[in-house]
Order: sequence, then structure tokens, then C-alpha cells
Amino acid sequence: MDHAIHAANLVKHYGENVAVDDLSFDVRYGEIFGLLGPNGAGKTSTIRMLLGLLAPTSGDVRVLGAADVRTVLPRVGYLPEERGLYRDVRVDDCLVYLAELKGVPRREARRRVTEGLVALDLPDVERRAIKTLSRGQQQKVQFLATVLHRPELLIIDEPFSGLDPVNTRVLRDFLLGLHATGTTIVMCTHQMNRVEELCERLLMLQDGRPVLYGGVQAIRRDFAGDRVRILLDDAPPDAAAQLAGLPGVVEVQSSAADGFMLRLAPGAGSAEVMAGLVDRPSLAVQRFEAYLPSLEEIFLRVAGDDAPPPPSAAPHA
Amino acid sequence: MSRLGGLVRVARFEYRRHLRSKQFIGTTLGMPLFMVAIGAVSAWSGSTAQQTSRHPWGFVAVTASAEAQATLAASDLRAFDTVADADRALAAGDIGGFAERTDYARYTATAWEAMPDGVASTLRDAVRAEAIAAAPALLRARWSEPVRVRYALAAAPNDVRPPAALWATLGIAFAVPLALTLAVLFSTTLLVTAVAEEKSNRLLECLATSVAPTALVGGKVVGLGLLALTQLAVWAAGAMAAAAIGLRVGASGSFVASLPWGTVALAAAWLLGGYLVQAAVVVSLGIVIGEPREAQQVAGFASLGLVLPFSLAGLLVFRPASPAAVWLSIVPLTSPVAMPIRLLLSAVPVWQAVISALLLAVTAAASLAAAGALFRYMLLRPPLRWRRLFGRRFASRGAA
Repeated sequence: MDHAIHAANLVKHYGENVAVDDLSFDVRYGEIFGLLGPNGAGKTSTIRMLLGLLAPTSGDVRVLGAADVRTVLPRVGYLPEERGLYRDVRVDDCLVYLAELKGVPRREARRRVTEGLVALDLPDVERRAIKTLSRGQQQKVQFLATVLHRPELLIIDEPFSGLDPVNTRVLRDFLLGLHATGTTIVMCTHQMNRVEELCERLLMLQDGRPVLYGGVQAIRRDFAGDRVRILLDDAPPDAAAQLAGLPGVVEVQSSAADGFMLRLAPGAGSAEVMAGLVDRPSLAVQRFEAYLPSLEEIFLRVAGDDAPPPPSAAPHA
Repeated sequence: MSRLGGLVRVARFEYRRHLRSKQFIGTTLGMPLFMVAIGAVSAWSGSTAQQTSRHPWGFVAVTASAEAQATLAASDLRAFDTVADADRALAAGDIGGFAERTDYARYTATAWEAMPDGVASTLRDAVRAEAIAAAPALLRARWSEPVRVRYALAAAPNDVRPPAALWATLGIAFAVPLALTLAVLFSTTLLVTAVAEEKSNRLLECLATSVAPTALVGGKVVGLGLLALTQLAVWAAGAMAAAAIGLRVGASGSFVASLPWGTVALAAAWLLGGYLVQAAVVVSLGIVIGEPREAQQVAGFASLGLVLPFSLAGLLVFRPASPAAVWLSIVPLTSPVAMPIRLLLSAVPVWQAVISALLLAVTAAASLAAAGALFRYMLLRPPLRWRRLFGRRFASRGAA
């Protein structure tokens, strides 16, 4: 199957420092793909190799089917994490210029700028100098600059940072609109809830190596194994003690919102717990589910300070 | 997009962007206004000086020459028969002073106020008219006809001061390179700021995914070079307008025609080479330093090569063929200014001009290529902060 991005055994060294170490992954056409990892994990180096800004020390990259990435750059949009625009230039002039550099004719660029500003809820900023805009507005303008040429592949680094909830929603809807038209999106972010919400698959890097790779839900299921969540109707005062006495349960945590979280002993299954609950009529179960950890928990578990050294990631289907 | 297409778009954007900037408008319009202001102050102070003598002057002279009397009568001077009459008029405040002829060609002035301009020349003209009237006819014809001198510039030998009539040539010899240099320095200041700004806000990283780095640099150099030309055009138009007003329109045409346009074009060619070298230097500084203000400060030092010849103006004017002047006009750092000054002032040996032009062209090409390579190398690398670098060095010295 052809992929929007195909990276095979990518390695990038800066002197003796290894930024990316034997990285292989694919991004499918039309999907939203999350590229995650703690600071210094090698995400930026990977993106720059994908964009042809850096030459890999070894390994192969194909972007939109091309081995010479620079030939397809007009079909790629890139929003870096640290960003800025020409502060003294008018919004429309700046956007038209950046679109023209991507090959959009001037008149068409002007039309798309007007449309894009409306779509991003920036209707009155067209003729204003960029420095007069708020940070959030500037961020949306820069995002628009990234997509004006209607790229087939969009690589965006922390697109939501600095945005308030309203603007976050505007941008998210815009992204979903692009996704609906078939644009392939690679999103780097530390906002795990956004990855859960938007991404179909992800790749997590640590120390330049892949530690997680695959479908978002599959990864969450893989990390769900040892926990069960139970919500009770009118939980009695000794509910936690009763739950702790269930077979296979080694720890009980409770919270008002989420009910009870039961951590199971290695080898124990949720069927044992359920069977135990049947024998305790005082515990009226409203909901019983295998707990799917959030990506944030998985991220902390995999990339936290006390995380084990990264294994080679096998794809999670 | 082709590399050329990218270059053209970048050049057009940089040109338009800076053309509308307050900095450009202020500098371009401010400079002629500044010059006009200086001229106006100068003219005003001159007229004030003339007004220091608020009373007419007189003269006491006995002459039988009708020609001399006619000359004096045509002036504003009041005639007195005796010194006593003139003294009385002076004491009464009727005149500011008077001149008494004490010898054939000598006058002694008695005055309360400074002698107005033109009094001395009127007296001199009267003496001359008297002498001419007494001379034989052939001599009269020769003396009546004013001597006409037409200056032709030649290679000035060492230690020879140019005659007063050459000051106009000197003015042009410095005004043309100065205007070109100011435009070059202004453009390269914008250039270093533009590169450092894009480096500091990481816009370069985005741009590099749209256009080749060489086209990006080339577009900026071309765009801001065109901006310098625009600035020069505005200044030249201002100068022409000023000349038209000062020389009463009709004469301005001959003034413009009398300018050494061929040499001015040569001067512009040298300054173009200087611009390219300077542009390469500031692009390198902008991409390495990556902070607009710091980059501007360091670029100021880099422009010393263009400023140095102006500080050695005396050498270029009075000893234009000296070894130092020749070296200044051959070394590519200073030749963009020194050679135009020499070309406009004197005849420069062809071999010197050829060597200077070749060296400048090679240096411009090499420095642009080096700047392009450095630009690509530093595009994604962290900037080098001079203040931090020197700050650390000084701090460690202090600690030691």
C-alpha cells in the first residue's frame, strides 16, 4: 500500500549525539497521525527530515510517493512550533505572499485569504498589521498561511498551543474539515486529549527511538489490561473495603466522579471480579468496564522519569 | 516553483514591504528635506550677514574718468567730495562707512558697520574702468573682454591643490558616492534586519519549505537593491528640482547636461559591486546572529570599509595618485567608494580601474556564494549571540 509518508530505518546524528535512531513508520493517505514524545525525543529532527530540511544520516524517506522530498514540497504544508510572521506587514499581504511562494496565483490567493479568514473567525483583520493582532489571532493567521495552497499533506507542530477554548474549537473544526476533504495530517502535540480526539494512529518517540506506534484505541486497549472501573448505585460506606476483598483485586481507588478503580493482580481477569460482585448483593453495579487509560497516562508511563528504557515499538493494529 | 520565480516573488515582496515602511519613507524624504533645511539655514545666515550693514556706504574719490564715474554712479554708494563731508554723514548716521581713495589702487575705509558685499568690487571696477579708458585701443579691447577659463580635469600631481573653480567638481565627486553609499548602507541595514527577523521568529524554516534558500537570499538582495535605486531616484529628482529652482529652471538643463554622466555611471557600477559585497556580509551576519538589533550593531562595524574613504577624503582629493589612495581604490572593501571619488576627480590609470573592477567583481561573486552556503548551513542552527559570547568572556576575565 502506498503511503503519504514512508520512513525506513531513519537515523540522524549531530556529531556524536543521536537524535533519531532507526526509526521506521508510515502515515496513510487521508489519516490524522499523531507524532508524540517528550522534549528532545527527536520529533523536530524527524519532521525536518520529512520536509527535506535535514538530510538523514542514513535511512530512506518517501513523502507523497517521492524520494526527493523537495519536489513535492508545494503539496505539503508545514506549521512549526516556534512561529512568527512579518510583524509590520498587513495580514492579507503576508498571507498572499506566502501562498504565492507555494505557487498559488495572486488573485486566487487573495480569494482564498478572504475565505480562510472568515472560516477561522477572523473576519476583520485582513488589512491590519500583524503586530496589532492578539497572539491567538496571529496563530490562526499562521495556520491559515500553512493551508492556503491546499496541501495534500499537512505537518503541524503544536497547533493548539496558546489558543483559548473557543479558538481551539474553531481550529479543531477547521482541521476536521481538511481531514474530510482527504488531507493527510501529521500533528505533533503535547495535548494528549487532542490526540485522542483527532488522531487515528500515533507514533511516540523517546530518545530518538519509537516506543509506541499504531492505532490510538489499540494502544489504549493494550495498556488497559490491569484495571477495571466500577460505578455503583448508592455505594455503601464500606464499598471500598468490600471491593478490596474481591478476588484478584490488589488496590482500590475511589473518586466521586469516576466511581471505583480496581487494580488487578497479574494474571487476574475481570471475569473473576464480576463473579465476586454477584456474591455481594449490597453492591449494586451501575457500570462495569475495563478501564482504558488516557494517552496522557500512557505517555507518562512510557516517557516519564521512572519509565523503563524504550523498547522497540511493535505496531499496534 | 522555479528558483527564478521564487527569487522574483521574494524580491517583489521585500521591495513592496519596505517601500511602505516608515523607515524608508522617513529616510528617503527626510534626507532631501534635511539638505534643503541646511541650505535654507545657510542662505538665511548669509542674508543676515548682509543685513549687518543697514546703512549705505560712501566714497571719497577724485577721478576725471567718465568711465569710472559712471561705474560708481551705477552703484548704491554715495559720493562725497571731501573726507570732512563723509565724516559728517557718518557721524549723523546717514552712512555706515566710507572708503577714501588714498592711492591709485588703494582705499582706506572708515566705518561703524561692516562693509557690504559688492562695495570693494565696485571700487575695484571703477579703478579698472579708469585704467582701461587711459590705455591704447588695442589694450582696451583686450582688457574689456573678460578672460574665459575652461577647466579640464587631469591627473592631479601630488601636493597640488585644485583651483577654486574645481570645488563644484569636488562637490559632485563626493555627493554622488555619498548618496550611493547612504542608499547602500540603508538597504543593507534593512537586509540584515530582514534576515535576522526571519531567523529569530523561525519564519525561515517555513519559507525554506516553499522556496530554495538561494532564491530566498537572492530575492532579498535584489528587492532591497531595487529599494536603494528607488531611494536614489527620489534623491536625484529632489536634487534636480533644487537645481532647477536655484539655477532658475532654464540654466538647470545645462547644469544637468554638464554633469559627467559617464563617470557617474561608472561610480554607480562600483557601488553596485560594493552593495553586493556588503549584502553578502550582512546576510551572513543576520543568519549567524539571528537577532535583529544585535545583527544591526555588528553590521555597522562591517560597513566601515565603505565609510573609511570618506574619512580619508583629504588624501583622495589632494594626493589622488599616492600609493595609499591607489590601494584604497583597489582593495574591494574600500574601492566601491574610493574609486568613484578618484574617477570623478581625476584621470585614473586604466590598469588601476581594471584591477579594481576585477577584484571587486570576484569578491562580490565569492562573498555571495559564501553567504549562500552559510545561509543554508545556519538555516536551522541556533543563532550565535555576540552579547552572550562577549558577556561570558568579560565575566570570566572579571572573575579571574
